[in-house]
Amino acid sequence: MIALKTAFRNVFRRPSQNIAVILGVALGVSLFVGVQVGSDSLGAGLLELSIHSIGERDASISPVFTDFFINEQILQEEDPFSPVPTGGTFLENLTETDAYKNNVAAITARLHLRSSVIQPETGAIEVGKRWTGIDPDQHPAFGILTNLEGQTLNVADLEPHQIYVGEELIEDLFTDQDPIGKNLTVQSSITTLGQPPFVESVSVRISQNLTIVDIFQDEGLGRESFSDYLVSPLSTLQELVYQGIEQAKVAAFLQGQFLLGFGSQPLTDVYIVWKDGIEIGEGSETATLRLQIALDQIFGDFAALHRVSDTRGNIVRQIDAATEGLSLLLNGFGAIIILAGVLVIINIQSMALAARERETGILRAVGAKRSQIIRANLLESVFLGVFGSLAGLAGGVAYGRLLVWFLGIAFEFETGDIPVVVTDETLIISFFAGFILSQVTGLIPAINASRINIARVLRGIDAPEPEDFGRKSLYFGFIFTLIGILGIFTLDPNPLIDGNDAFTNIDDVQAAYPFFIFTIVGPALLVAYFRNFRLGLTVVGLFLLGFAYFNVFYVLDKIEGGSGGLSYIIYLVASLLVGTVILTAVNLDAIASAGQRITAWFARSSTTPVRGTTMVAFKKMRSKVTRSTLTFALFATILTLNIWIGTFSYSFRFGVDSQVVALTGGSDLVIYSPDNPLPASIGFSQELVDEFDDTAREVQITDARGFMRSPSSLYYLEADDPNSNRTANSVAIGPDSFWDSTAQENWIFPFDLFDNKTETPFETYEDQDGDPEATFEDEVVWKALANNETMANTQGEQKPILITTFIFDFSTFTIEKWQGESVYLNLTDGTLQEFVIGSISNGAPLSDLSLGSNFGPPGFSSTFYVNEHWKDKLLAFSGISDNENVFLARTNIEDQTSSVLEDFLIDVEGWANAGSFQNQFGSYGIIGVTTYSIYEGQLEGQFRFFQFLQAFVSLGFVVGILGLVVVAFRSVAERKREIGMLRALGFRRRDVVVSVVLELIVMGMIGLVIGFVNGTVMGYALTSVNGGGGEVEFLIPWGLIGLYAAITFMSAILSAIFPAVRASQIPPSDALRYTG
Amino acid sequence: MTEQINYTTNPNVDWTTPMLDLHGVNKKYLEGTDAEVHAVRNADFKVYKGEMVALMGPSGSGKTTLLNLIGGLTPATSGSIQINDIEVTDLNEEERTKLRRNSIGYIFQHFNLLEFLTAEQNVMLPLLTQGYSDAQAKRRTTMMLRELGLGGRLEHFPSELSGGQEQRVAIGRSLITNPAIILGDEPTGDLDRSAEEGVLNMFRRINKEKKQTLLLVTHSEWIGSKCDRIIRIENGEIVQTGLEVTS
Ligand SMILES: Nc1ncnc2c1ncn2[C@@H]1O[C@H](COP(=O)(O)OP(=O)(O)OP(=O)(O)O)[C@@H](O)[C@H]1O
Ligand SMILES: [Mg+2]
Repeated sequence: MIALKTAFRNVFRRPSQNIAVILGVALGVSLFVGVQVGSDSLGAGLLELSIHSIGERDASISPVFTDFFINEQILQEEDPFSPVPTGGTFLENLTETDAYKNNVAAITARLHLRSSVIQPETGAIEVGKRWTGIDPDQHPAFGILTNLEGQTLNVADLEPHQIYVGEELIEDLFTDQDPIGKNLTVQSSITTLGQPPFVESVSVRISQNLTIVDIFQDEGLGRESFSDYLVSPLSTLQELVYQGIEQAKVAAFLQGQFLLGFGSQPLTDVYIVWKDGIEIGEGSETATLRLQIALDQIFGDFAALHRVSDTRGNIVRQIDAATEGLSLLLNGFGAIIILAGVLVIINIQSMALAARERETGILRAVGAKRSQIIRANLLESVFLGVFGSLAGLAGGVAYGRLLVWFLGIAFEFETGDIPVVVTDETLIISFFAGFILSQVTGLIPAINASRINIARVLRGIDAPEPEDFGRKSLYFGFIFTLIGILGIFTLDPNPLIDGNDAFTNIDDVQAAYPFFIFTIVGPALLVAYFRNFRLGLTVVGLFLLGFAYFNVFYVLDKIEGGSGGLSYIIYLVASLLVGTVILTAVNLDAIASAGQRITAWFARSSTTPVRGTTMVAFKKMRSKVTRSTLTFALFATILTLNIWIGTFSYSFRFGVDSQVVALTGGSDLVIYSPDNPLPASIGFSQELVDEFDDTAREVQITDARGFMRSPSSLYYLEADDPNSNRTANSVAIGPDSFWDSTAQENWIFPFDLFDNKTETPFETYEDQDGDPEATFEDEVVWKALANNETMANTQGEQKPILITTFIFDFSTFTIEKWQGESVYLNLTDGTLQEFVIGSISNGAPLSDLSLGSNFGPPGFSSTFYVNEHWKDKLLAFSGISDNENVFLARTNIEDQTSSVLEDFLIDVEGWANAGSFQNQFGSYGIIGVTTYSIYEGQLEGQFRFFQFLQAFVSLGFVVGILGLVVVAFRSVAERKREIGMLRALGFRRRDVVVSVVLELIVMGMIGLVIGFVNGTVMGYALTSVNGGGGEVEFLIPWGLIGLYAAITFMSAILSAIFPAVRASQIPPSDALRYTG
Repeated sequence: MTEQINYTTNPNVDWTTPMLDLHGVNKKYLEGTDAEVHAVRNADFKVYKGEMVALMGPSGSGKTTLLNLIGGLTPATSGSIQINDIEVTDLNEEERTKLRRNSIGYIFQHFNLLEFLTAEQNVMLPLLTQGYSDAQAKRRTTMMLRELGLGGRLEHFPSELSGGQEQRVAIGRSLITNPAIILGDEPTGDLDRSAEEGVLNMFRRINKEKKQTLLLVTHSEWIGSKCDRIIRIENGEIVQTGLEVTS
């Protein structure tokens, strides 16, 4: 009871000190809560955003091949040539099933046509947009359109040639005119698909002129996000498609092709809302499965063509997976910032402790028992811990809100879209973490303090007592060494046995890291026991650094694969940080002397007291090793993190020239027809270029090459399994297909090949004269392909070469084919032709850069590069015999990011789409993009993410500045007497201020140097790993680093100046009386 | 009737030059409050150049306060304080600092040294503030500390010195700049008799050789007897200056 009273009295007796402790703990807890809230909310926000985009739909039934309309077998009994769409049968049948009755609350059909939308007056074109037919009697769950004035729009009011257009699409197509009443040209292609593999499909293109009746807005109310759609009544689109298919049938019939099973009412999507009580997750998965089975029972072999998907459940799963990585990352970086926060807490606590030590000494001297002292400390500490943690929870929620707000900006959410998620777990865990932390940093040292040497304390000596590490370091050293060594022996693969090969998988490296740390720290503790503490520390520091550098410059190069790596990266940063901080701390003496000497040299001719001031600052710094270390370590941590992320994102943003060149083959522009083939002649490219290449323009096309690309799938067989039919795209390569192909020594082969040359049988490749090729270069294979050369298959027979992107089996997640193996392609004459895979390409602009949705995600379907000799002989799976042309152009503009190129392309599009091009070729319009914008578009998400990370880690500076303020206030308070003495000895007020500020500046600058070294090393490490073998040039953002230096400098000055000035104003006689 | 002190025997005293001249000096702490302390009342005395004077009085009588007033560490409530003809109360902060730096050597009552500096660095500090180079300052410091019998303790921190050694270092620091006047607040308070004697001899010597003026607060009648004269203060009032003529 008495102890309790004492404790509370103490709390109020030392207000400033205890407020600092509470603030410190609160800060740590706030960071912890904030990071949690941030990552939880980000997940929730992404989920909300994705859910928003699918509307109220829970599940859908859609064709397996999304680009195709499916002929409906349900309607087979009807006359396929009936001019009138029958409608409704599918849905009617569906509603009769029990599965439907049990699970589904609402259902409606949608029909989507993927379309190009052209603004005829300007020639502006938007591709890959959805023209959607919706049911006028739609179920209310699937959304109601409203125009910009908020009035409800009903598609039933639309005539066949009228249309509603989404807000976003209007913004893209019209700059200033009023779009209502204007016309749009909408072009869609319809492909019907028979049952693979024996039935061919037919494709037709339809072009419509539609009048814009009204613009609808995206309301963001959880309905489907339509804002770049065109909307018509379902029946209008059905009619249109039906007519298109009729045309196609007639055309096919006239060509004598065999047709089978064209339905009159193609459906692309059926939207479903589950009944209440079906939970997203297991519930929705089961419902999906049941529905699929029921559909199969009614419609027979339905599953082959239709897939029921648990749309909402899938999104939840995807977002969970995506945010798991993200929150791991946030937590990883957050952990480092929290570490900085912990440094602040330790700092505060150790200062509070210094004041308490004296008191403890006196209490012990007058006969207080240790248990009494501990009890008093315990209660006080518990009180402060609870209070600080509670305050931290409040602060953390606020900080979380701030982070979420920032996330909203970085990811361009509308702010309202991200809910702030604060879970009970977050609060409870954070509270206890904060509480425990405060006890560990406050109470334990206080208890230790009760063992102090009373006499020393009473004499007012606060120089650290040489610590007695004694047996503890012996035991721990031994145990750590043992764990480390045993651990290393159990590793699989093992670096001791497998040598370098052990370092190829990042997961293995990550697993091994802690054991190596044990084998570093263990022996060092033994050194500390048998030799001395300082040497032990030096050994730890040196080995940690050495090991980290070994990893950065050697191991990282070796790593080829693996899934994880975040922990590994955190280990690396931690090793670098701890290593540098320890080494700096151990050598603080020498650093301080050097610093003093340097400043003295600068002030060598000065007659002011500056030498006295600097001596005081530097000697003070080295006398308080622990505090100084905590302070510069704080800055080292924050700056390491910031400079690391800064260099990494900077390099990724601006050091990518070579990567862009590699991906685009050095081209600046891509000009292509989005949905429709251009006349297939290579010569055309020059024609086109001549048209564009107006010499009055700034931009001149210096070279252009065309590629022919089959837009549809190529049918092929694998050699070892004639029954496994697969599809691939194909690209025809001829000698003219590459830059400077005539001057062989100047060939630029932009498309790099998979770097796995040890597995290639290409040593057996012989050039045209039969001489074995001595060197194996990418060019060799591409040249061989362009020249239609052959190479030996596994049986040693010479076969034509083919280059492929990875042939990947998504069911087993393996790469199925390697160099030297064979692929059989169907030829139009009905035979199979064997090709040998000359090499595997990492990709090319045409497959790597996705040019609109037309090209699909990279690496998703394989692309075969064949010589153009084979182009017309290959049997394309699709009925489209035309090939698509894509032109890559090089220009005289050096800077790929130049806006001049963009302007030029707007002219090109306008020219092509508004008149001349269509007149000349009767075709539908072309798109021009700069290759850099494709690259940028692909990486935009990443850039945004970097931006967010940078903002996130720069919040660490707030922690740093708070830390410095605390250090400055406390250190000035402790030094009042000292300051009085200095004043009595003839220090001016400003000398006192300078010496205090200088001390903090020096510590900040030490932190800056450490941060710079570690940050750039980590930046380099990450850049070289993520840049894919040095394609990203490592750049140091000097401007940013200058900014960080300035921030550090300013924070040191700002946080120290106020307390220092205040202390310098205390009359010296009073300051001298101060006893702490 | 007052005792006549043997100051006449000190040939160093320059009776034409008052080094210190206090006139009607008052110091009130916490003025205007209930806790007001009138620590120095109407102090009126002179100390002449070359004198070595003891300031004695019971605990709490205002000795430290008086020294602080003279050193300009605390402002006087009223009255005039002149050091070497300079009116301290008229000086601004900056000028007072300069005066302390160049003309006054301080020895404090408690906690005399900066703990984070070695003995040598503590003594050097005033020289460095005067703009001496490191090398010059070191040379003089070494000489000084050797004189004080601390030649082997240059690199020691205060925590590694005995109380007497600490005090000697503090004395060394007050002397190092050759100040015109040395203010010592119980400079031998922590020392035993023989150490005390050693320090006192040193004061005597510098007083003799460099004609420095010393004003030493002490409780020890023995030290008082070794000084030229004793100024006594009781309850803030100067009750004896030691210069009173016997009536
Ligand atoms: N800053 C202050 N505020 C209020 N009172 C003060 C202050 N400094 C000193 N006093 C009071 O002034 C009086 C004189 O104090 P001073 O320290 O000058 O005494 P002293 O003669 O040096 O005593 P001692 O021999 O114990 O050192 C004392 O009553 C003291 O309580
Ligand atoms: Mg006193």
